[in-house]
Amino acid sequence: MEEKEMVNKTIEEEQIDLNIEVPDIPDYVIEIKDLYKGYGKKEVLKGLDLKVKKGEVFGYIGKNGIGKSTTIDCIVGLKDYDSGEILVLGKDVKTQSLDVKQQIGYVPSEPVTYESMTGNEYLQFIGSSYGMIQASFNKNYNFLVKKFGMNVIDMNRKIKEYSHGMKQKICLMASLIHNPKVWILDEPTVGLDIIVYEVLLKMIKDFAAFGKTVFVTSHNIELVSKVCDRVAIINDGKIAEIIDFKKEPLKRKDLNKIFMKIYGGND
Amino acid sequence: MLIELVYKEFKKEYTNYDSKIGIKVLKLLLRLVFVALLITLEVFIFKSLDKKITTYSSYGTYDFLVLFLLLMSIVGIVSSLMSARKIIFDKEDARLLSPLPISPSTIVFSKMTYVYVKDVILNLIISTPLLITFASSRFFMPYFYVASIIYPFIISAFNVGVALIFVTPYEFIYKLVKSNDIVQFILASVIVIVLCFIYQFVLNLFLTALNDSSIGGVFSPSFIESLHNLVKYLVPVNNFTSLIVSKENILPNICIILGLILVTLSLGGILSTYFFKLLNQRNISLSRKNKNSNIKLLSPFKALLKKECDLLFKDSTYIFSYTALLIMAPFLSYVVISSMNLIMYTNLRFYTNIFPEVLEGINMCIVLLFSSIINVSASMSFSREEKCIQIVKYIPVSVKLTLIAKMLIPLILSSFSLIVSSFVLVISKNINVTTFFMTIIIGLILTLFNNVFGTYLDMLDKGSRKNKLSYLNGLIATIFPLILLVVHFLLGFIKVHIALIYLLEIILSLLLVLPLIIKCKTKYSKAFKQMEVS
Repeated sequence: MEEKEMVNKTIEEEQIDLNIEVPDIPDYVIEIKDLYKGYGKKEVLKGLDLKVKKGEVFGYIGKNGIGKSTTIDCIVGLKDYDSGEILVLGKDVKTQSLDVKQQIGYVPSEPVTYESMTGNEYLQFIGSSYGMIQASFNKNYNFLVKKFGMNVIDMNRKIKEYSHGMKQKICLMASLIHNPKVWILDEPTVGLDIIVYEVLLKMIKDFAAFGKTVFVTSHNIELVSKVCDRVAIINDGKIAEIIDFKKEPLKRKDLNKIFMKIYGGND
Repeated sequence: MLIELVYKEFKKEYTNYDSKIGIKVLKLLLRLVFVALLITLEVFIFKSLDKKITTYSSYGTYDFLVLFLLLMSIVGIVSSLMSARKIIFDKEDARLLSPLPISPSTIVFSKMTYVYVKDVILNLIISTPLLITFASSRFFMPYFYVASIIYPFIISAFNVGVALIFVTPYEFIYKLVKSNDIVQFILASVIVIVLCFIYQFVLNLFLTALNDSSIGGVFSPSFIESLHNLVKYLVPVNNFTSLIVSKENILPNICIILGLILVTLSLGGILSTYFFKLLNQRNISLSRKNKNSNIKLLSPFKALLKKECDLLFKDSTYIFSYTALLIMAPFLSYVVISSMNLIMYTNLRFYTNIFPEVLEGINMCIVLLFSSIINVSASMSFSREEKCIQIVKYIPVSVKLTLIAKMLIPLILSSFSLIVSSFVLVISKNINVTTFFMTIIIGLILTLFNNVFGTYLDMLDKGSRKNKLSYLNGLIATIFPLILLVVHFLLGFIKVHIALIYLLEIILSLLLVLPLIIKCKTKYSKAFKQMEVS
């Protein structure tokens, strides 16, 4: 109860509307059990187990092509997995996919939007698809437009006229417009300018402070070590190591070395 | 300052920073070749027509010259209107220019000058050769040739003046049309139909020019007579041509030309400057606010339908491969079937007597072929999404709703096009009433099949196995109408009653759709879930 009041207060300050109640979230927001996924004969995920706690910023790192994006794709429903189980907020992503999707905000690694639409039309489409209430949409829209430094002219321009960074901003805005409980970001910093990068860092921290969960993959070790509470490193289709920065704060600085060690690189 | 502003407009329009010098030169050469070909064609048609009409009427060619010049003037006004709207109400440009110490009237004047120069070039390419062609066969004095070169400078002032008067209403209409998809679709359809008729007229004109026989085609004597009575009202083109050709009423004609130019330019200048200030100030002040532009949320289903419309009508690939063809389908069906009926009835009368139903069968087959082949491109609705398939997969909308939204728009549009095609053919008596109804019934079943089957195959192609099955839909769309034609032909040959033939064809069409309906919910959900997005 105390937490809910705190959350609402913070949100009021931020002018973002939260019409979704926070409390009945299970301890683990994302639970992945014995997940297998392959492409043809190539197995990418080989019995992956992972648990992400409520209200934490969880980093998920690994070298290229190791299965980071595949894991995310399976969580958000972009890919069907071969076996295992994924629960988001206690709900199975296969059997209760609509309920799960409703609670997720997803930022793809490449900005993907309908480029023939304007920024406004795209957010309208996303807001409508999530069945948002008009008042909540308006508040969230105004908050996000201001936060990401967009203006009316930008928002009325076709997305195909946007720069890469602006497209990334629209994707970030679209992922938050429905005020999700879980924010999943796949390589969110690519193409962002330094100002938006800082805004993003702050938003990730704020989002977790509201009692929500952030799941982020990135090549940017600095970002991960700066904002994450825990980090999982994936290798050979399984989790190789999980580092809890709350328990071992000194490891923030050594994350790069740990990463290199797991992949057999030089210190 | 004015020169810099005009220069800026040209630079903005014609500078392509991405292109290499070689590509730029190639583009320029291609443009020059195109212009040369256009002038050659124009001179050829006009000279051929001149030769013919002169034998029929002494004033005929003069009237046609005025008509041609008036049409060119209308083209000039329309193109100036489009250019003027684009540059006068350019929000980005206004935002950049607003802090500078330049008055709005100077900005508008610079844009007016730019549009004027463009129109002069257009008229030098199109109108001057016409005047020179007209003069060359009449041994006019040199002053006529000088006047032919001066003409573009005079008429363009009038064209730009008229364009500026209408630029603000055009901007309002443009915004209105742009914000409404249904209005956009209706307008696009009207434009395509009008273009079809213009195309038909130009084609007839060309055929008449090539035809060695005497006056005919579009040049009926009554048309030439009506045109002659009309020409005196075609100001200011007629005033200019009568000034240089007949040299009559010199002073009144000069006064009318100058008066019209003065009035249109002044009125256009004042109105466009006023609205330039008003609209751009509003746009700039709006851009400084961060309020939403009253975005109204829709129901998930409506949002999906709107998105599908965007993909079909705003993407240039699909505008040409589907939407434009869809609009053209009735016209294409009419042209092909009416020509074929003419050939069959005049040259193959014997065969049509032996197989009286075969012609109706061929007609139905052609309509079905056009309809289903065009429809196939629209049924690839998941391929149309390209990378955005992942948005379709992660938004919380049920598979059923997603698929209905995907199939509904092409289904409605294709059905509408099919009905219009059949209706055009029945009222022009190219098909009989029975064939009309049967074409619609079988065509609607085929349309449904193409959409449902095409969407299903498209989903399978996007699955982890990466099949390439979509071609099957195109294959069936082509083969099935031909199978119906064979059935029609064979059963007609053995004198089976026509009602039975149509009944059998309907049953065959339903048999095609039936496998798609059985266990469709499970099949389609599975295919949707198995779509892999990378």
